[in-house]
Amino acid sequence: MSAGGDSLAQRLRLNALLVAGGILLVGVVALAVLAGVLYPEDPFDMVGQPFRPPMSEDFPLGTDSLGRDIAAGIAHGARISLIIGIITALMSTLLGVLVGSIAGYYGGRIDTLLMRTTELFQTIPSFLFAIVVLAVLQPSIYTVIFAIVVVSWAPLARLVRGEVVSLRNREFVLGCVALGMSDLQIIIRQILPNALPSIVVAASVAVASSILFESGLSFLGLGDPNVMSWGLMIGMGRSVIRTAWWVAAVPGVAVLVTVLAINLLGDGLNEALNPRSASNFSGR
Amino acid sequence: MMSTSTATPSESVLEVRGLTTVFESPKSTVVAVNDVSFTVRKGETLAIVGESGSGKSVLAFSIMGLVAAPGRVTAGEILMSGRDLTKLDEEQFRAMRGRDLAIIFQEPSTSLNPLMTVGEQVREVIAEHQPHVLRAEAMKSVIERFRLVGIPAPEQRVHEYPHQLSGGMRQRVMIAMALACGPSLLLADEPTTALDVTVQAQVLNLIDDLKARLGMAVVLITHDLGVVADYADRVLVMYAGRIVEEFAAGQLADGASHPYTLALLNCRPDLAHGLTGVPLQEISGTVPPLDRLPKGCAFADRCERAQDVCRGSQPPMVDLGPGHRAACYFALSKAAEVLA
Repeated sequence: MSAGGDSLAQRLRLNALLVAGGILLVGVVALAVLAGVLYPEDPFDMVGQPFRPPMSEDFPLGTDSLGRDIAAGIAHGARISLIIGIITALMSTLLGVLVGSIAGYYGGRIDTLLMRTTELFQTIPSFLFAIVVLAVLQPSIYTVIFAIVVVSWAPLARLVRGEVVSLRNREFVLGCVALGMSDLQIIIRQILPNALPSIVVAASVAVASSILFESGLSFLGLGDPNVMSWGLMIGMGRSVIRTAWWVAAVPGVAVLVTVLAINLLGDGLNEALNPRSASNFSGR
Repeated sequence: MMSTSTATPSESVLEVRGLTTVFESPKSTVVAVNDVSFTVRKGETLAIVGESGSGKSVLAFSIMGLVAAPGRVTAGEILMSGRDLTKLDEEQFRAMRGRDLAIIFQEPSTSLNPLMTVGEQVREVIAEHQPHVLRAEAMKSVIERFRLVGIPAPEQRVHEYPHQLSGGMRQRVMIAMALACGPSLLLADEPTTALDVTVQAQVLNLIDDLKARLGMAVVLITHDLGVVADYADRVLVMYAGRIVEEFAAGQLADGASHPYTLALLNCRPDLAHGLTGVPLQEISGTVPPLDRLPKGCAFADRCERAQDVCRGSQPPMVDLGPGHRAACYFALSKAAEVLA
C-alpha cells in the first residue's frame, strides 16, 4: 500500500508543470480570498483621480476612467472568476458524467438518443450560443453560470461516455454483472472510479475555459453589471486603450495568468494521473 | 436452497433444452449456439470442450444471461430450481446471479477492479445479496472465504489490491467471489488458461475440492483434454455451436466415437511425441464460418469418414450406450470397427 502512495506523491512532486500551475493558482486564490481584507470598499467606488498610471502613489496598478482602483477590481474580480469557473465546471462535469455514463453503460437506443442530443449542443458555436441564452435571459451571475454550463457540458459527456464504454466491456465489470450487482452500484463503485483520472483532467480544463467564457461575456456587456469582473474591466478599458492602456491590459494579464495556471495544473494532472502518457513509462 | 428444488427431477441442478443463441447483424446471422441440450447433476463436473469459436463460451454466457447485443437467446429453456432462466425479467435474474449460479473467467488480471481492495470486492457481492448482513460481519465471512480457497494470511490479503497479488492468487480471489453466496452451480470459463502450468493444477484441485465440500455442480469449459480426463465426470464436445458427442470422462481414452472427438484426441501433444519424433497430428481445414453453416454436418469437410449423406442432412443424435450419445451417421464404437 505504501509503495503505491509514495510513487503517486513522488510523481506529483516531481511534476514541474503541476508545481508552476499550483503556485500561480494559489496566488490567485489568495487574492480572491483576501479581497475583502485588502480592499474592503466597493470596487465600483471612485477613490482617486482618473487615469493614474500604474506604480503611482496609492495605486500600484493605476486607476481607470472613473478613478476606480484597478487593483481592487482585480482582487474582487478574482473572486467572481474563480467562483464562476469552479461552479460551472462542477455543474457541467456532473451533467456530463450523468449523461455520459447512462449513454455508455446502457448503449443501444438510449446511447443514440443521448449522444445525438449531445452532438446537437456541440454543433452550435458555443460562444454565440451563450450570447443567445443570455440575450433571452436577464444577465445575472446565475444566468451566466447557466449559459456557460449549457454550452460546455457536451464534450465532457462524450469523454465520459467513451471511458464508460471501454470499461463496460472489461471483465471485472462483466464479473460484477455476473455476480448480480445492480447497474447503479456498478456504475458508481466500479466504472466511475476507474474513469476518474480523465474526468478530473477534463474538469480542470473546463474551469479555465469557463473563466474565459465569463470574461468574454462580461466584455460584451452580457455579464452581471453589478459584479466587478475582469471581463467587465477589459470592456470598460477598451475605449481608452490608446491613452490609458493599463485599464484594459491589467485585467487582461489577470485572465491570462489564471487560465495559464489552471491549464498547467490540468496538464500536470494529466501527466501524473494518466497511465498512458509517455513520461510515466520510465517509472513503471 | 437445495431443499427448495423439489420440482427438479433426479437431482439435476441445471437443465438446458434446445438452447439457441444467435448474433444478428444486417448482413448476416451467426448461430453461435445451435439447439444445445444437456443436464448438469448435483455434485458433478461437466466439461465442455471444443476449439476456439465452437460456441462454448457463448453457451456459458447464455446460461448466465450475459449475452450482449446483437446476440440473443432465440430458442430453448434453461431450467434451474424449477425456473426457466430465459423467462426471468432482469431484476429476477440479477437476484439469482451470484446467489444460485456464478461464473469465473479466463483472465484473473482483468477480472478484478484495480482500484478496490480484493476483500472489499468480495464483500460487495455479499452485501448485494444479503443486504441485512453488517459490514464487519460480511468482512469476517470474506476472510472465511479467503481461507476456504487457500489464500495464506487472509486477514492481511483482504486489504490488498489486485496488482499486489499473483495470477494464481487473483484467480483464487475470483473463486472466493464466485462462491461468496454459496451458488449451487459454478461455471468456469477456461479458468486456468492464463495461469502457469504449476498453478493450473492448484486452481483445478481447489475447484474440485470445493465442489465436493460445498456440494455444488461445476461446468468446466476448457480446450485442454488433459484437464477433462483429470477433473470431469462427463464431457460434452462442441463443434460449430452444436453438441456432437456426450460421454463419461472415464471413456475418454477409448470410448469416444465421433470423428471430431477422435481428431481432437489425436491433436494432444504429449511428451512421447517430442521424444519419438512422431509429428503432432492436426485437424486439416478450419471451422466453417458460423454465418454460412452447411446444410449437413458442419464437420463433414474435415472428416475422413464423411459420405454424401453427411453433406445432405444434419446427423441426428444417437444413443450409443449409457450416458453416451453422438451426432454422427458413422459414429462407430471401437468394438464395432473391430467386428467390421
